[in-house]
Amino acid sequence: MPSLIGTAIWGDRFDAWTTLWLIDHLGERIADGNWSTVTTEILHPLGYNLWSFGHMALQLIGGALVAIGVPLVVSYNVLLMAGIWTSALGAHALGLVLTRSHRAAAVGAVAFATSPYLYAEAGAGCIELVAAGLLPLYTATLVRLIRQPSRSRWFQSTACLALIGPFNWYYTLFAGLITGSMVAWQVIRWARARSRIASLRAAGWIVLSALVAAAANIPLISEAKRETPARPSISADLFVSEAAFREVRAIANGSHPIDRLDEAMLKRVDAMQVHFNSTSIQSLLRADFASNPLQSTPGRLAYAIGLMGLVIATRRTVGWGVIAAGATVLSLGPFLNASGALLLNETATAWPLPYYWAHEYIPFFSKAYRPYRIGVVALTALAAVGAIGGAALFRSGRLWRPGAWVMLLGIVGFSQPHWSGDRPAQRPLADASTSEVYTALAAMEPGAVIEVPLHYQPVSNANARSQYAQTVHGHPLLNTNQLIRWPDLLRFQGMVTANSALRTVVDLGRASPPHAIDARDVQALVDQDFRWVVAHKRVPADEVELAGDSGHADLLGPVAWQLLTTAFGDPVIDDGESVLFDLTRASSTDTRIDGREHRALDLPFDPATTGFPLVLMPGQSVTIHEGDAAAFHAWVLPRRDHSAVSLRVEDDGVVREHALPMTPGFWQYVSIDANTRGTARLSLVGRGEDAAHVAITAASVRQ
Amino acid sequence: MTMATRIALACTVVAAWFGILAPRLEHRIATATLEGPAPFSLQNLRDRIAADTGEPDPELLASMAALSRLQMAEEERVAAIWSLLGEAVIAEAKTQTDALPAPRYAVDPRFFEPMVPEIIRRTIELYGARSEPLPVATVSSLSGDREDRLRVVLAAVHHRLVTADQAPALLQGAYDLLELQMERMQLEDGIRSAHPAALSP
Repeated sequence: MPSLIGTAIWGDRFDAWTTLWLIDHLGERIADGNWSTVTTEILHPLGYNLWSFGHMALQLIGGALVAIGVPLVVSYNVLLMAGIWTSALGAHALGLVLTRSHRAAAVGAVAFATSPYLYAEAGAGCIELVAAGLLPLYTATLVRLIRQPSRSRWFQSTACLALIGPFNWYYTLFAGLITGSMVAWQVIRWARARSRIASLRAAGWIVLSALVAAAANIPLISEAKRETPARPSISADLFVSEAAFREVRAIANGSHPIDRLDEAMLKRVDAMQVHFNSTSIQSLLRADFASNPLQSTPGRLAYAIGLMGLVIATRRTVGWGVIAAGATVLSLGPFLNASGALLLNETATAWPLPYYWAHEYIPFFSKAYRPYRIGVVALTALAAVGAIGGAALFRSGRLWRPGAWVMLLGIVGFSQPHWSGDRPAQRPLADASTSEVYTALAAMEPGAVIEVPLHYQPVSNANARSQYAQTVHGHPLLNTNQLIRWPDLLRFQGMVTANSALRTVVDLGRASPPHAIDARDVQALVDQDFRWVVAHKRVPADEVELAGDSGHADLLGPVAWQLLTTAFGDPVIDDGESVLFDLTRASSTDTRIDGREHRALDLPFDPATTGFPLVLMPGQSVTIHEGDAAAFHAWVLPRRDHSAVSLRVEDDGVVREHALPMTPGFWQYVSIDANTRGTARLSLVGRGEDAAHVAITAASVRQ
Repeated sequence: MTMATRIALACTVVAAWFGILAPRLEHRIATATLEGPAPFSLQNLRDRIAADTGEPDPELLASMAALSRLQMAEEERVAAIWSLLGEAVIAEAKTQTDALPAPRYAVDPRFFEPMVPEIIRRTIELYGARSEPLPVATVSSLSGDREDRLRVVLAAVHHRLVTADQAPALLQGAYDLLELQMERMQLEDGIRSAHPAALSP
């Protein structure tokens, strides 16, 4: 990363590109002294309330860096690395308070800061979750308050808790869990030895601290509620329903027709998140580095350190062990899911887990609708157990050269991303450069931008990057990744469905013809200050499994291109990679495209349907079409460098071959004039010296 | 308990959990997910049809007949793939079924079960995408547990026991099987939604 700190980011999901946009936007706000809560830089002209992000303190630090001239991508990467290191420091502080030994504290810090949880969130671009150091730091302040209550210690604890909120509202709830656990611990101590009134007094101090911190955050709570609108109750029926799953999947993939979305449907999507975001037993057993955050856990090392600490220091670690075990059980979610299956079987739903009762009956708990993240509470407790166990071990004198052992633990811990599980450290960095069309667009006349296809969900990284591209061209943008909350999505739906031009370009990559755009609706867009429409013929490939087969949603077929050029006129820029249309040059007549002359090819290895690869040994061929073909269109992506594939056209005794143009790491739109005269056969042929690994989708012929 | 004993005990606990117990439990869960859903039982419907003395539902009868035909066709394709491999390859593959990687399609809602798509994917990856028709199986080979047979076929492909000449026909056989499965999935969904009460246990 050091050599690419200004040009690439570690992590490539929509959250990463959204965060980059937010940092840049806050940087502009700081520079301009603009503190309005609503922006129209995204979701133009409806506007978006920045409080809906729910967490902005870390991004505000990034914005300050940008405002003083630090490049945006550098700021993001610095925040990410600082997140890991401050997490280590926070855990170290907890260990130090517990043991008064830096070596023992280092054991806890390594357990905490090398967790797969942090790396999975980093890979997903959720840097505010990586910066988890305030949790162990807050726990350390509670330990100090319990040991020797004083005003200054009470103030430290209260300030720390109040500070967590603006950084991350999830962690505020988790801090609340830690607070509740510590209070319960003190009450149990008091109950077991009634003479220890100090325990009861400590519990009182903690409660007072939590109340004051909550009061300090009250002005923010009503705004932060935008981030998690009212949560629906847990419904076991939904988690076992295939129909509900299909509906939710279609909405999450952005393939459900936008005009048929309604509030009840979107609340069902919210309700299903609890199940999808629960840790499975299999993930817990594996406990290695997963690229998907939903499969992440505190990790093998943290559990191993915790287990060892528990055995070595026994009674001194029992309380922390109980917190770790309790938080791990809560992270399993409302019902037990052994394999991580997307649908639960009905027997599982007969036995609700503690999370279910907490979600339903404890105030505010339902806001923690991603149970796997509660693993960070377990991680905090495991770090504490590790530090206490380490201190007992070091002080026993049984360990030869303890410093060297701690060093070795650190090397093993921090090297894990290179060899454990999905090996996230081996994942290529995401290139933060943008298409040249955005640089050209920055110099164009004012006017808002529409990226086509328009999506109501961040279905792919390529699509999510359009919000990041706004930092380059600087024009207001209709598209946004932030429609994941239903009130915003319903506002967007209302605007889009009222205009035929917008309605038609929603999910245009997957939509079937006929398509229709009324000229007056294009004019209505111009009246709303829209001017530019951007579409792409080369699209960055999605390497992230979460986006999975949604990647092809960005790929426009020949009928879509025909629609865009007919409705919006000749493009002002077409550099073979991106295309820019000017709405002021749009057709003055209505556009109707039926696409009848195009025939889709149903290929068995299409990643959009089966997900099977296409591998062709040198000279090997597969027939993809027999019949008339005036032109062949498809999107292709080389899965392996130096893959070479040709389209072979056998027609009337004549054989022609056209090499498919391919760019590593990108989907490329291919349009080849076949001009057959009779019944022809089209085949794909492997060329080159090695096996060609290629993905091909949206293949069609014009007849 | 001395510190030395505690250290030894701690190391034993960690090694036992991460070295033996957790991997075994994980393997059991992975194996269970490979097995796929339980067979779709139509016994309740069959019983009802048998007991019903009134006018038979022609649509239901047609669906049931189509389902039986599909099941037979699937059995034939499995047997055809099995016949293609030959006894020596099968014997070798049977010894290697435990060394298969985690199923990629275990929880993929696009497919009926994970084994056939896995066979297709691995065949394409290792032998290329060329396919050619797979001849119809002989009647004598229509026996045996289908799940086990598919696992053996997957092992044969995964461990490259299949020859380059056999691979195209095997791939086509797997494509055929997948198509039949998808057809059956749609048909079963239709029957399920049309007769939810009769199918409940």
